[in-house]
Amino acid sequence: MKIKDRQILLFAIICAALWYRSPILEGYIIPTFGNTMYHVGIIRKTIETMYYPLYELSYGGGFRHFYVPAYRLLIASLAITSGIDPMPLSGIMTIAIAVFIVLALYSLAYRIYDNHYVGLCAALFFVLSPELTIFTSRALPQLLGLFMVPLTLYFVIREQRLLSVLAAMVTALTHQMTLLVLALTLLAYSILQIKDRDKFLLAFVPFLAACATYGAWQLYTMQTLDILSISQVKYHEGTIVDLKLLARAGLVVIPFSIIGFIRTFLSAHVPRDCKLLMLSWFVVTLLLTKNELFGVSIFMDRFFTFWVECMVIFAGFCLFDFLRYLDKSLDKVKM
Amino acid sequence: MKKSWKNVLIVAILFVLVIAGMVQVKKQVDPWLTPVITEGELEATTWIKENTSLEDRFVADIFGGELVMGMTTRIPIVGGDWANAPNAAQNMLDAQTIYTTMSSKEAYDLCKEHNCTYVFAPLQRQIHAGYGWKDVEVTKFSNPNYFELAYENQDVRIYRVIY
Repeated sequence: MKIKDRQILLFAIICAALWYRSPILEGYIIPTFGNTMYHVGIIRKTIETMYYPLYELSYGGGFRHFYVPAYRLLIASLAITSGIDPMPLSGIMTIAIAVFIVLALYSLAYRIYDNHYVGLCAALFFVLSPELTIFTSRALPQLLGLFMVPLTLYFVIREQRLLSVLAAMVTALTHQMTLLVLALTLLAYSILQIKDRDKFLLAFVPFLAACATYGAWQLYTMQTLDILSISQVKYHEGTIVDLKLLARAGLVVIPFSIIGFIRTFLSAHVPRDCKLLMLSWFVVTLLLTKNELFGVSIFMDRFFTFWVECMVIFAGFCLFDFLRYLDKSLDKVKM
Repeated sequence: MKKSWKNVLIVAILFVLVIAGMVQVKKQVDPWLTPVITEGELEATTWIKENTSLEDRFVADIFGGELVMGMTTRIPIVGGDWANAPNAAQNMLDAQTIYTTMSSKEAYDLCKEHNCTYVFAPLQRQIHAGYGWKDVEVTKFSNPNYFELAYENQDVRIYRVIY
C-alpha cells in the first residue's frame, strides 16, 4: 500500500493533537475543570452496581438524574472490558475521542468540498483553535458530542439515511447542548430543503428521531418533559461570548473562517446541498452562541464551541483556496 | 515567480500560521489542564473508600466534592450536576460558610442541617463552593465538641461530625 502525502500530513496533524493532550496522562489525576470527576463518579457507580443510576450523587444526592447516559456508558463498558480504572480511562478516551474528532472534521470537510486537502486544512485549524482544544482535552460528554455532530452531518450529506438516524439518536443520548445544536441544524436544513421531499426527509427524520429519543429518556429519568425548571435555565448559567472569548476560537482561525464562509457561498464548485447544510450549522450555532440577545442567556460559551467547530471547516476551505492561488499546481494533485 | 520560490513561500506561510496558532493554543489551554486537586487529596480518597459507608455525606467544595464522588461514589453537598438539585444554590452558600466561618458552632449546625457526617478540608489550596475562591478557616474544626479528626495528610484533613 502506497502511503500518500495527505495521509502523512493527516498523521502529523494527529500527532500535534496528541502532543497538546499529553499532559492529560502525565499527572496523578485527569484535568478536573468542567466536572470531569463527577462523570467518573457516575461511571464508577454504574460499574459497581451494573446499573446506570437513576438518582444523583451530586449536591447532596437523592434526586433524579438529568444527564443523558451515552458518554458514561461508553467509558463504563470500556472500563469493564479492559479492567482499567474509570479515572485514567477517561483520560485515555479523551485523547482517543479527540483524534476521532480530527478525523470527523477531516471527513466532513472533504465531503463538503470534495477535496482531501480542504479536509487536511480543516484538521489543521482544529489543532490551532484554543477553544476546540480546551473542550477536547477534558473528560466530558460534550467531547463525544463534538464528535457526533460532524459525524451525523457527514451521514446526512452522504445520504446515509439509517446511519444519520442512528447517529442523531446517539447524539440525543450524549449531551443535551449537543442535541440542541444538532436538532436545530437538522431542522433548519430540512426547512431549507422543503421543496425537495427526499432531501427534506433526509434531515427531518433524524431530527424527529433525536427529539423522540431524548424525550423518551427524559420521561424515563425525570418523569417529566419540562426542561425549563432546571437550575441552568433558572440561574442562566453561561458566559457571554465577547471579543476576548471570541478570540479563543483562534486568532488564525477567525480571519480564515470569515473569508472561507464568503468564498464557500460564492463558489460554483460547492454543491447547493453542502452550502445549505453548512449555512444551517453556522447560523444555528451563531444564534445559540448569541442567545443572550433573545433574552435566553444560557450556555452561550458552550454553544460557541460548536460554532468554532463549524468555523474550522470554512477556514480550511479558505486556506486551501489561498494555497491553490499561490500554487496552481495543487489543482493537479490527484484527488 | 519560480516554482521553487513558490514552494518556499507556501511552506513559510504554513509555518508562520502553525507556530502562531500553536503558541496561542498552548498559552490558553494549559490553565484548563491543571488538576486543582492536590496529590494528598487524591490519596485521601483511598481512606474514604475503606473507612466510610455509601450513606456518608461529605462537606466539600466543587473540586473536592467531585473528587470524592469520582473516586469513592460518596455523596458531597456541593459538586456535580445541579440541573435537578432542589437547593443547589443554598448548598453552595452553606458549604462556603462551613469552610470560611470562624465559628465552630455555626459550621456544626450547618453540617447537621445537611446531614453531613464528614468534612473534607483541603490545606494547600483555596476552595470553590460556587461563589469564588476562598481560604479555608481550618482551626474551628479542632473544637472537640463538634468535630473529630478522622484522617490527615500533608494536603487534607477529614473531620468526622459528632452527632
